[in-house]
Amino acid sequence: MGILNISYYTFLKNIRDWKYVALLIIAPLVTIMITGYSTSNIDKHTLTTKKVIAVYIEDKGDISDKFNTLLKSPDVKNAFDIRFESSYNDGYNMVLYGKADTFIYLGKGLSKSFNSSGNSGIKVYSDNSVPAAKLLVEGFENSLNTINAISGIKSKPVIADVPNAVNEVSVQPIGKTPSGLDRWTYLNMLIFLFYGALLGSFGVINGVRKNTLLRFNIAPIGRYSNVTGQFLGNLLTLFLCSAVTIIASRLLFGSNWNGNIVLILLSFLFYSSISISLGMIFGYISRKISLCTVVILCVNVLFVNATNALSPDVGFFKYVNIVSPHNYVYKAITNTVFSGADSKSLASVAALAIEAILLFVLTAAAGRRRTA
Amino acid sequence: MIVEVKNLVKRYKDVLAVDNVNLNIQEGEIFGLLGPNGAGKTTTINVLTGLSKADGGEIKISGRNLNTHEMEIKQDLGIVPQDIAVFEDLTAYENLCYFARLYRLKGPLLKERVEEALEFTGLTEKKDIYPKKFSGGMKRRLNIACAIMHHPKLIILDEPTVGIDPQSRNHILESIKKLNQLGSTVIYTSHYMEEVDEICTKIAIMDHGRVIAKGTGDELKAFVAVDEKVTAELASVNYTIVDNIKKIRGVKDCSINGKQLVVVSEKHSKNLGSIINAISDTDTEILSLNAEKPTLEGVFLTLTGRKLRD
Ligand SMILES: Nc1ncnc2c1ncn2[C@@H]1O[C@H](COP(=O)(O)OP(=O)(O)OP(=O)(O)O)[C@@H](O)[C@H]1O
Ligand SMILES: [Mg+2]
Repeated sequence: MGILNISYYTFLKNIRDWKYVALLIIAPLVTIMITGYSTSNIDKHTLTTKKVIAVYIEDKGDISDKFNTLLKSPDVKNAFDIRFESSYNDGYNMVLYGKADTFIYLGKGLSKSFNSSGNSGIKVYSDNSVPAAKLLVEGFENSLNTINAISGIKSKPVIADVPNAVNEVSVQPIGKTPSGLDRWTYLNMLIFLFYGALLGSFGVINGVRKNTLLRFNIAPIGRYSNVTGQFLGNLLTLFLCSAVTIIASRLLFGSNWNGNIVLILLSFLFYSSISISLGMIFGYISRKISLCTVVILCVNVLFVNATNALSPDVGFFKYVNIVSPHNYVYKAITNTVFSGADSKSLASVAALAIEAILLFVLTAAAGRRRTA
Repeated sequence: MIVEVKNLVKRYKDVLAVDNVNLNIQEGEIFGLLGPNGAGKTTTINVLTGLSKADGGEIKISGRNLNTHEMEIKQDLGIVPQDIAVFEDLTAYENLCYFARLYRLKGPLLKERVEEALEFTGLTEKKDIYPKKFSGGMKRRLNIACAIMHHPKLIILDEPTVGIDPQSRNHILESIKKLNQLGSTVIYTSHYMEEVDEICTKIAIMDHGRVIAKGTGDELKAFVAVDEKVTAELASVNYTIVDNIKKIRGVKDCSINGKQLVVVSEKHSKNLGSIINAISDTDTEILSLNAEKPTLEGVFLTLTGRKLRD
C-alpha cells in the first residue's frame, strides 16, 4: 500500500520531466535513425561490390559444360562478377595483380579424367585463404559426385540440382544476421536506457537535497518502503520507455524484433532493473549528482564496447561480459531474433534476472531507513 | 504527559549539540522552544522524532518508548520541518495526497482531509499549482499542510515562520492556535521571541545545547530583575512633574533630559496610568510615550549576557 503509493508518485514525477522522455525515448530513436540508416547504406554498398572471379576453361567436355552452365546461372551471377579469360596466364595475372579475387582453371582433358577417376581436378588460385569461389567449386564437385552416384541407378543426371548446392555456401538468407540498422537499434537502446540509472540517482539525491526524504523517515512506513517504492516507480518508467522505443523503432525504421517477444521484454525488464539499481546505489553512496553521472557514463562506455556487437568475446572484454547486462541483453535478442535459439536466449535472460535480483538486494540495503 | 525527555544528550563528533536536556510537555500545551541559531532546537526535535539517535537519555511520547512503539508514535506525530520538504514537480494537491497516504489515509476521508488542510492553510485556490511557483510564504504554508492531515496528537513545528512576510506569519500563528484549540499539543521552535511570547503557554529557552530557563512567559519575565522604563517626550519642561512622579508607587527614579522624561519603576508596578495623570495635571502636552516592559529578549540577555539575535 505505502510502497505502491510511493511508486505511483515516483513514476508520475518521472514522466512529467521532459528531460527524461528526451533522454530515454527521443535520443535513442534519433541516434538509431542516424547510425542505423547510414550503416545500412554502407551494407548495401558493400553488397554491390561483388567478388571478381576469373575463369579459363581449356577443357572441352561434359564436366566443363556443366560448370559453364553453373557460372551462367542467375544465382552465381548475382553473387559473383565472372570474367572469362582467354588463357591460363591472363587468369593467373588477374589474381596476381589484385584485379580478381580468385582464378578458376579447368585444364585440358579434365572431363575425361574425371569420368575415369572421379576426381574433377578443377584448380582454384586465390590470394584469400578461404575464397568464396573455392566453396563454389567444392559445391560443384559435391554435386557431380552426387549425380554420379545417382546416375548409376537412374542413368539420367539432373543438372538443375547444382545451383542449390552452391546456394548454400554463397548466399546468406536474408534476416539471419543483424543488419546495420538492427545492430544499431539494439546498441543505441542499451546505451541510452542505461542512462535511466540517472532516474534512480536523481531521485535518491534530490530526496536528501530537497528534504523530502525526511517526510518518509518520519512517516509510519516500513524501513524498506521508500527505497522499494522508488525503485519500482523508476523501473516502471524505464521499462515503459524501452517498450515504447521497441515499438517506435519497428514502426519508424523497420528494426527487426521478430523473436520471442516475451524473452525480449523480459531482458529489457531486467536490464531496466539493473540500471535503476546501479543508479540508486551510486546515489546513496556518493550523494553527488555529478559523480553519479560520470560513473554511470564510464560504466556504460565500458559495457557497450565489450558487447559482442562491437568487440570479440576475448581477453579483458570476456571478463567484463560476465557481468555486463548490455551483452546479456544483446545475446538474448540476437539469439531469439536471428538464430531462433530461444533456449540460449533464455540463459541470457536468466543471467540478467540473477544480476537484477542481487543488485536490488544491495539497493534495498543501501537505501533502508536508518537513524544516524 | 505527552512528551517526557530525561537527560537527553546528542553529540556530533566534538560538538555537543544537546546537553542534558529535560523537558516535560503536558497535553494541550503550546510549548515554545526558544533559542538562538545553533542552540540545539532542531537537534532536540530530530532526536525526539526518531530522525537521529540519542547518545544518552530517555524519551517517552504518550508514555511509550520510541524504539518499541515506532509505528504508533509516528502515526500520532505531525512534523513541520525547518527546511521546506515538498516535491516541486507535484502540485500542492498531489503533494498532500502523497503524504497523507503515508499516514494510511485513503478514499473519501483522504480527499476530505486534503481539502481541509488546503482550506486551513489558505491554499485552496492554489492547489493545482506546482510549489516551485509558490512564494516563500505559500511554500511554508504547504509545508505545514503536509503535516496536519492525519490529525496528529502532537504537532512539532520547527521555525515555521522563517523568512516570510508579516501576513503569512500572522496566518501561520493563527493556524497554530487553531490547531491547538482543535486538540493538538504543539511544540513550536523559534528564535523570534515575540512569536513565542504571543502563542506559547510554556517556554523553554535553549542555548549551547542546554535548557537555561523554563516556565510560562510571565514566570520567565518575573524571573529576571529588569526594571520597567517609561520615556515621554514633552512639549514643555516643568520640573514639578518630576517631584509628583517620584511620589507614585513603584517609581524608583525620574529625570528630565532636555524635553525627554525618563521614569524607571520596579517590574509589575502597573503605574503607567498614574504617570500619565501626573503629567496631564501640570497641563503639559505629551508628544510621544514609550513604555518598555520586560521581554524574553531581556530574559535571554540577563541569562547569557548576549542578545538572542546578533
Ligand atoms: N548533521 C550535523 N552534523 C554536525 N553538526 C551538526 C549537525 N546538525 C547540527 N549540528 C550542530 O549542532 C548544533 C545545534 O544545531 P541545531 O541545528 O540543532 O540548532 P538550532 O537551534 O536548530 O539552530 P537554528 O535556529 O539555526 O535552526 C550546531 O552547533 C550545529 O552546528
Ligand atoms: Mg533549527
